[in-house]
Amino acid sequence: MEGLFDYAPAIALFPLAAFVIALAFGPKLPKKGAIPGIVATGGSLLLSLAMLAAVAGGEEGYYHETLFTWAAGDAAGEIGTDAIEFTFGILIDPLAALMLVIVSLVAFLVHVFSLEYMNAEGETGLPRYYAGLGLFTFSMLAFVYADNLLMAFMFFELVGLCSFLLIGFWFRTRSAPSAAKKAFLVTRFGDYFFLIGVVAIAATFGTVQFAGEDSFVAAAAAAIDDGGQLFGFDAETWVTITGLLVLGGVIGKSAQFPLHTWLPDAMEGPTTVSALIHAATMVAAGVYLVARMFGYYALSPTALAIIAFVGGFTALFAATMGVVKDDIKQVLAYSTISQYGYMMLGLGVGGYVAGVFHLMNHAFFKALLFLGSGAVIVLMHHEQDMWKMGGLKDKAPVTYYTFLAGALALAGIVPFSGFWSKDEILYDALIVGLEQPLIMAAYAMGLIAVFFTGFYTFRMVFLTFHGEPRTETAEDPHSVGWAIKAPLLVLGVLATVAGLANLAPVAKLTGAEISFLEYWLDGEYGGLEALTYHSYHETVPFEEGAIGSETTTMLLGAGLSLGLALAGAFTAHALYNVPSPTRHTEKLGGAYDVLRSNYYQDEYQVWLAEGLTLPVARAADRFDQTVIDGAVDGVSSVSLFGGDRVKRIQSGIVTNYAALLVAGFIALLIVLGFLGGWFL
Amino acid sequence: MAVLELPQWTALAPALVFVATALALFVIDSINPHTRNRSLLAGTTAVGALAALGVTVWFMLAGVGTPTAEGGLGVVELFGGQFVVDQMTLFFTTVVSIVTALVAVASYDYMADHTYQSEYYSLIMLAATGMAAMAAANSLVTVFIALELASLPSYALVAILKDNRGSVEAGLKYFLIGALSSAIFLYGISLVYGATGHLQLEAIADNLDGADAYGGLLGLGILMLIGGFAYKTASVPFHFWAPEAYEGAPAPISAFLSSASKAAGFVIAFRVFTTAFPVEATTAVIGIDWTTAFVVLAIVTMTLGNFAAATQDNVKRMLAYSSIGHAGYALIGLAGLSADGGELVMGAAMMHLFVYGFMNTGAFLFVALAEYWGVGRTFEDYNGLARQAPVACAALGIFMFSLAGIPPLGGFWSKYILFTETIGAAGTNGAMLVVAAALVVNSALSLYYYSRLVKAVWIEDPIGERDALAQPIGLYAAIVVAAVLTVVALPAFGPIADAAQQAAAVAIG
Amino acid sequence: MNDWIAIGALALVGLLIPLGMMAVSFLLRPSVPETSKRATYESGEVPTGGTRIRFNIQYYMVALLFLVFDIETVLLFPWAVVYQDALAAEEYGIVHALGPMIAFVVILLIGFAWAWRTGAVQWARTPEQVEAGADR
Repeated sequence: MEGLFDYAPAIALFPLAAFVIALAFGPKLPKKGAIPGIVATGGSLLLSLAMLAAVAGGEEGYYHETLFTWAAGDAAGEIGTDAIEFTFGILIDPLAALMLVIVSLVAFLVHVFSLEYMNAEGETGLPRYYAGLGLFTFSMLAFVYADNLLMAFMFFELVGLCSFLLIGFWFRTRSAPSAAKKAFLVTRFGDYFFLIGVVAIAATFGTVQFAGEDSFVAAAAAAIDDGGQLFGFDAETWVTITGLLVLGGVIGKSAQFPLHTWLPDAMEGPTTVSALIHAATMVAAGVYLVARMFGYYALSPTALAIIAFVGGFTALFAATMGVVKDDIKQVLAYSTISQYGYMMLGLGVGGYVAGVFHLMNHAFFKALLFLGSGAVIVLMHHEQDMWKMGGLKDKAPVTYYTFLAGALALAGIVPFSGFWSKDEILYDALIVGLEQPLIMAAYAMGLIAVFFTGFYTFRMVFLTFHGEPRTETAEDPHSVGWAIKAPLLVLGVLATVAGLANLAPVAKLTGAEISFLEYWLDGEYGGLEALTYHSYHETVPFEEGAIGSETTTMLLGAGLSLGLALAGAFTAHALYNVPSPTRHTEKLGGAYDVLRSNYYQDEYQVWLAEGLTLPVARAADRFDQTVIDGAVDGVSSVSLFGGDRVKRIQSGIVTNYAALLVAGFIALLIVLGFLGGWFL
Repeated sequence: MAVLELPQWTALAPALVFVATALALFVIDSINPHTRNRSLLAGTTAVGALAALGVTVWFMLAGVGTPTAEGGLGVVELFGGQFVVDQMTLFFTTVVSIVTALVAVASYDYMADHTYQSEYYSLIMLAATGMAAMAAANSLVTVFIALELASLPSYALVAILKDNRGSVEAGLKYFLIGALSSAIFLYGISLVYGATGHLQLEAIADNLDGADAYGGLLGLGILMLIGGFAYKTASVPFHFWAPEAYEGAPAPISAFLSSASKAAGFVIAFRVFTTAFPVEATTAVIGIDWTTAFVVLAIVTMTLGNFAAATQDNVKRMLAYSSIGHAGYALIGLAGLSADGGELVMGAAMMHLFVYGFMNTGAFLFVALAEYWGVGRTFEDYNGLARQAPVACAALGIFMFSLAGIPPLGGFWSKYILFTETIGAAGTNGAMLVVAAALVVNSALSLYYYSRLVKAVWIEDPIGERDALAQPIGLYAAIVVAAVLTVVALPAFGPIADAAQQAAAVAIG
Repeated sequence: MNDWIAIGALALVGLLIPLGMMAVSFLLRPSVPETSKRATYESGEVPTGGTRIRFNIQYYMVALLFLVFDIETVLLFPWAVVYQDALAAEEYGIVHALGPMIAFVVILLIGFAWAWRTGAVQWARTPEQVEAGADR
């Protein structure tokens, strides 16, 4: 099994090859590049599964190999290292293997789905589309198994670039390019801090490796133990600062408050792209990065608390906005923001397993929901307004039932996958929150968000599929083929049963050893010692409390969240599961406007850009134009003027030359003679 | 090696080859007076120059001038130290002979319609003899004679276009300024002799103590020597002849004067000041560090040259001023000398002169080509030449960017090394920082007018219609060889740099 | 007092002597103005034409050739004086004694031959020669 690891680079290189093929030969290929994409992602999927098996069955249980050193120098690190290397390498441990499978699976299904969603709809520019998907998948896979922070940063950026290309796929419309630009700029703002963080970590520890003896995580732990000063700060404070800088990139990519504004706009891209972005690639990259370097964050309670609080706040904040959206994709967009908030909450309270578990489940059910909404859009002849749908339940049963499975998972209804992971996150938050008031607040926000999640999810389901058809297209929908149904079915099954991977509450109640994911991430089946759950758990500095016994706490938490989710679902049922639903917006009063306007987030960010940045940029430009350019122009004018004057010395009259020559000589003589004292 | 078995005087073989070639040309012209057999004359000249080059390179490889401690044959002293053949001699003889060969080949086409063929080539050879002798001269007398031997044919060469008023006027001006400068130089020699009682350079150095009573006299003498060198290297304030002479002279002669003659001027300056006037001992006598004079001259020369070049309309005149600017760069080699070394700076200056020899010759030969075509003299006249003569214009681009010091061309490396060594020398002489700053500022300015020419040739549209341009084989060959040498100087830079540094070290040590 | 004051005094005296002599003769001379006194002095002849006339280039040619051979004589003379002694001396052979001078004379001869062949000593030209080298 170990020999399999030698093929690891191919996992990312397959989609890269597909990218090249689609770019070079796309227009001439029968499906405009779809076939190479499907083959490549299918290959990646198989190889990823093989990696999973190799990690589980191998002796070492991980693969860590430096492939290429592209820069090495003898720069001194703050902690006393005297050399630094920048490399490309591969790290496949349980976490990376799991993520590889998720990413390649979703990418594969998205490719298949695209056959019908894009090809059959007669889109133009398909080679560009498939090339973009290929590059996107390549970047994400390479990011996932990057073994150091700088390589991760590079592919993180490449992921951002691909999202820009794909969101702006329909570049002839007004909104798509603008949305693409917004996504690019907003995430770039976060990446800016990420880059500073990378530089800070490299300068401090002299290494950017994630794992192994010489990883910056180990170096940071050692530095904190030494209790020394780093750049004038306590070691722990410095770790917090650098960790938060890197977190800037995470907040941008994973659309956490306040950098979440790009994500709803990103719905301008094709729905398949949205599925890829939200489920497996772009947005997942942020949370995955936190999981990847969790050992580093675990060293800093402050950073963890900030992650948890931002996560909890974002979960609630985005969920409330999802309540009033009319566009099916918009609802899903806000649900994505909200769900990633949960993952951040889970990781922030030290629930490494819970966070990763939710990342996995979310990948399945969110891919399902997006592809399902894509199917709905096909059904509705590219209509996205839910108020124009209705009654699709009977006309498209496959779409309906798979979508329903995804919706139940998203809302967190037992026994669908979302329930198990969300419950575990909330449980982890609760036990820590009992000792930490701030975490308690984050937990409370996460809990309230459960209600809203249930509400907006089923509002969406009821408006789309139930009731009477409200338009003509809804009465006579377009049909969908196998290329749409097959991925939906695969994902529908996964969304339903993926929870089995880690039935932690059941395990606690019954004592059965069925929390497989926890064992997996804990290195039971193989992995690096330092990158395991219990190792992290020991590092995380939070106390844990309980209400009564542990089991009581768990049951209380689970019951509370399930109850809230059901309450939300039933509210939606009461309001919208009627033949002719109305908007019920007047009940919200003034809050409606605030929610519709997304809490004026866009407005203030636009103001920041236009009201603050633009004048500063103008001032800088003016400074550049007048002072800097003026100085430069002045130098050249003075030079040319001086040149003109100097030219005139050459009068053309040889006696003048002789006179000037002698005069120059005498001047030199006088100066030197005076200095040398020749005349005394 | 075989060299040792030869009599000592054969160490001057490069200069002797030049003389022999000149005499051969006289014989050819005597047998068939006023011959117009260009192939024979230019061929003989080129063969003579290449033979001199071959002998020089052979000497270098055989180890002449390399200290015996390092397995070489040691420095050869001739006629009681009147001449000396060391690595610096051979290094500069290489420059002179390569430039001479290029000029001879280019002249084959340029002087095609000229009446005085044999006179032209024999004068070139005599001037080259003088320059080779300058490289070896080791006494103020031989220095002066060699300098005059190089100068007198140059006057005639500048004025050789007898029917061209510009050429004749330039020759006369060159001669008058040259006579004045020679007078000053000779006066300087007499003062130095008066103060120290010697003309041979080592002997002067040994007798500096005895000149204690005549500090001012010796100082004045040294200053006058500087004047003589400044004239030969076209440095301020003895530069006035240069723009006129280069503009009026036939373009190959401009190339010859601005490359070979300038290099020869620098080699005697280097030798006289390193051998005869060691910084410390001389300062003790004359009360001032003579490098001060070179610091001032270097800054003023490079600034004046570049500033004046910036606003020229006439290409040849622009190159003339740029040549003055480069003299300023090379003067840094003398400005950077100090009591405890300075061979690095001087070596860098020698490197620069070496690379400069190719790129500047090439640039003037392009002007020669343009004059051959008769397209005109100003920047505008050169507009759009690249469409009709892409090869020559590509070579021109190489010359210009190399002169401006754009990486990765040879001119960049020599200037870069000169700059770093100048900064390095600032440790002992703070004024070198100013020199380094001037070097940077002037290089930046020089890019303006060099790139202007490239822009005119490659980007601008021709002003008017032009006839098809001929491709004279000699000129083209010379330009292409110069371009190749400028480019090849890059990979070969290591050996060149080593040779220059070693030569400087031996000269100073 | 230093040397420069002495030099300055010398320069001053050097300037004063001619000025003084001119001043004395101005004071002593009788004043008899006459036009022929202002005429250019040409050895008593009546001057004709201006001073800016062109001399025949051949004068310079001959002068140059004369200079060359003059210097040759100057160099040959001391050489001839020591030649016998040099031959007799142990450390110099006939090659050392004679060789350089032969080389010197040969170089001069080549130059002379060339000058002769290219018409430096040709005082008059036949019409054919004028025809052939019109511009020379």
